[in-house]
Amino acid sequence: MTSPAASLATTELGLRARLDLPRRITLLAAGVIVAIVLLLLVFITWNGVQLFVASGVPVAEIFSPTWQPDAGSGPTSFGLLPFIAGTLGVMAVAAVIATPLSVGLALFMAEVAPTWARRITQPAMEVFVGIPSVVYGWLGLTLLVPYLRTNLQGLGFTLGFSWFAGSLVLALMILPTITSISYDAFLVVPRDMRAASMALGTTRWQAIRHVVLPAAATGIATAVVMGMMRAAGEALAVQMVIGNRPVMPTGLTAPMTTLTSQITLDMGNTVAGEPWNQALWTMGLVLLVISFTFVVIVRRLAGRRIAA
Amino acid sequence: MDSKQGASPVTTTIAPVTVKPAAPLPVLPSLQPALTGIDPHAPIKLRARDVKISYGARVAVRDVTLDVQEHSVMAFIGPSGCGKSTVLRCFDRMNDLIPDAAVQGTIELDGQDMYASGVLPVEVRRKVGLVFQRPNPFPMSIYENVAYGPRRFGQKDRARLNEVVERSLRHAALWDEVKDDLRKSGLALSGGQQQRLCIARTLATDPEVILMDEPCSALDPIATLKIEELIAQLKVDYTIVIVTHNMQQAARVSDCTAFFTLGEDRAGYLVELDDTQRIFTNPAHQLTEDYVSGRFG
Amino acid sequence: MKRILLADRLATATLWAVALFVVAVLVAIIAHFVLASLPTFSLAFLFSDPSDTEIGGVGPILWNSIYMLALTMLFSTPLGILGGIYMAEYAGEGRLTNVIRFSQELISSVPSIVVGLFGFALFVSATHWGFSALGGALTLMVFNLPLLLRLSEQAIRAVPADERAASLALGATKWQTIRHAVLPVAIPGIVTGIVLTAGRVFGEAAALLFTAGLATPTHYNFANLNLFDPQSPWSPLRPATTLSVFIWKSNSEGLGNYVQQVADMSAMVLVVMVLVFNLASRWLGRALQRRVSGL
Ligand SMILES: Nc1ncnc2c1ncn2[C@@H]1O[C@H](COP(=O)(O)OP(=O)(O)OP(=O)(O)O)[C@@H](O)[C@H]1O
Ligand SMILES: [Mg+2]
Repeated sequence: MTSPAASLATTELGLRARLDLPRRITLLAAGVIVAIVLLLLVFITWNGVQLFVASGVPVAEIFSPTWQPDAGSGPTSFGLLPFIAGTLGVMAVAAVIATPLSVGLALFMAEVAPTWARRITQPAMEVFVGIPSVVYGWLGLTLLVPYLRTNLQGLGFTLGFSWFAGSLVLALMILPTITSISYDAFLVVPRDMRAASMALGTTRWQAIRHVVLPAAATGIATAVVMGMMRAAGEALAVQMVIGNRPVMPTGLTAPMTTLTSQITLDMGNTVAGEPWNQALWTMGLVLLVISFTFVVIVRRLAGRRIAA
Repeated sequence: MDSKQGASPVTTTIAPVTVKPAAPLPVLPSLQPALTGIDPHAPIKLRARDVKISYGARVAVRDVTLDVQEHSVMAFIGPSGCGKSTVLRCFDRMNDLIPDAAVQGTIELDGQDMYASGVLPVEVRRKVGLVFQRPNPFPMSIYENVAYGPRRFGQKDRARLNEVVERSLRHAALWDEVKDDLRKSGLALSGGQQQRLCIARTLATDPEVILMDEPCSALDPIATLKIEELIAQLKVDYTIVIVTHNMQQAARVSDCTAFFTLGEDRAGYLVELDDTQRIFTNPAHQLTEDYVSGRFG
Repeated sequence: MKRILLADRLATATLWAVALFVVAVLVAIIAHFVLASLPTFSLAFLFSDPSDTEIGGVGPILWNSIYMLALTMLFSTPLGILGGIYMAEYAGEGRLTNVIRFSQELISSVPSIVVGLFGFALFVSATHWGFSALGGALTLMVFNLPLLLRLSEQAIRAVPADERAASLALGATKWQTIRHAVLPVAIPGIVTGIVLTAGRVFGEAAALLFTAGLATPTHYNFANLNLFDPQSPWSPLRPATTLSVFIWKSNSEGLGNYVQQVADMSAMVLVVMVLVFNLASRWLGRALQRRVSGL
């Protein structure tokens, strides 16, 4: 675009190159992202498959429910099923807790709130997003877990550390994510859709329920998937409250574990090259696969939204 | 910033060029005679007395006193910003949705004050339908668009719904064009079809009054003609108030015409209300004459 | 009819209740930390050295957080802005653009613990640096960069087309136009973006466990300016535990012996810092905006 018109075309190559230089430099900067992704894929995949390649563990073994990585105490078994199930389980329950609250809050902000209330909720959401995950974890560890242990022991919370505690902490963390994305989805629904419904004599809630919500459905789905993605990848906050027991999840009140927690805990205690350590990398690879699956889902949803 | 805000109403004044400010007089003879001769003793459907509507501290329109007779069509004309839409929305209590809008004076529907404390806006809106300037079908199928109102009022019976949908679409002169495609999205229709769908959607709620806010301003001439024909038919069953910027349209479709303009205080007011024919041929006010003959801004 | 109206009232009340509840939870969280730290908090806490026998302070740890933040922003800001310029001004609708966008999306989705593993493999093992502030900062850059890139791109795209056209019409080259006509207008948006991402970097912990290390520093001598001395607080090639990592570490240490008190106060410092970053980004953005439009 910067090149002069044909009749004025400069023959001086140096000038052209100089004019093109900024484009190249900025492209290089943008390209760093691509390089990082490629490097990350290579490193995680390479290290993630060492368990099978270097240590000869059969791939099928990771689908076993038994995690016994310590060669010192009997035959090993690198079943990752408890961690995968734990990650998905804790994520699902967190989404179940957070979704109604988030969508409700987003609806409130988009449809109901008077200006003064929106002036409170909007910054509140930003602060919510900003609070670091360790702080949520610390809160769960020092308030939630003891509370569950002392006051709700009757329900089965013998230790306090539990699936439920993990999900509750995660729910708090993904609440702003789901809220802000579904809020955007509500804002995209044209204003006069609500007016059209109410001019027919429906109540505001009927307009929301039968026009706004269906029109924003894909956006809400995207929001929930993004929330679940964040929940699945969160490490420290979950690790602090979930109890870290490497067994298949048994119930909401019992301790369990997740991929992220196990990596967090064991990475420092294992030696590079031993199968136990390699299994942790495999967990990292599994996490990567899970998050990329979510990316694909989000892309699909976005495609649907454009088509609609 | 200030100067910008001050300037924007001026630009909107110029924008809707639906009126062809052609040579003043030659326009008039070509107009079809307005449908006059409505029964002077016909009951009053809508009655407004000294209505004044403000947004916050700013008065948008004042001194509106008018009667709309049953089974007649009243047109609102006047320059942009004089409060036509504002008054229209009041007849449907749609101004309730604007947080700082306030209505003074009385508005009666069938002799009952629609702003009385016991009256629910929802009830008023079921009796009074509103068709918007821009066609705004819901993002659902044609069928669901029309069935929307009845469903919300609790109609679940499929056969009844089918019947209502067909009757409303027929009444809105859309049935023949869409009867094979009721599952198609309402948004896939052309602009004119969408607007008729919106009218059908309103008819399905079985209103008594239909308000239309520049229903043709987003449509091409052929689609406009269709809607105008439709209005003439709907008059038999409904009472209609229509806002338009198109003089010929007002002359063609309405029995009575109300002319609003902007006062010195930048608030709109009702200048004159009369038989459409009289407004266009022999108005009582100079302002009206200037406006209908195109001599106004 | 009654039921419909009742449902409307009920729904409205529920939505209000949800909003009230969420805001109350947030207020409670902040209040909790403030109340928990109030009895023992003093400004000295921010500056003094940690101690095993009394409450002590988090001076060196807080320093590490700030140091790492500076290092991270030093790497990612120029890259982010330049990349943002490319995406906003040069990138067309090509394959290359799609690849960059997809990479952006992918990298934002990678869990931070996995980013930490990646950082460990690359900046700790492959480079033989061991745990280091530099490795930690580069790792943080991995998820800071895409965000910064997106925010810069948005800020640059938001500049009205007239600004560009006017400059190009005067015969300025595209780069001159960007440099002198577009960037000055986009700066407020970019700065807001930088401060927002800084808040995130400040709170991140999972990616740092295996890259910047976990050892609690005891004392820093700020007069030691030798960048290659692992004892020097200025050296990038030394382990650097940050405040967030420090809080996480408290959880494995048993909660007696002042640990809980120190962690509560650290958490409060963290939360307050995040609030400050948040407010600062709004305030800075608005102040710069005023200056830009005033010129
Ligand atoms: N929601 C609102 N909030 C505040 N002021 C409003 C609102 N709607 C309209 N107004 C103001 O009320 C006045 C009348 O507006 P209205 O839309 O009723 O005019 P109109 O006659 O319908 O104009 P047009 O012919 O352009 O549709 C205008 O000055 C407008 O700025
Ligand atoms: Mg109007």
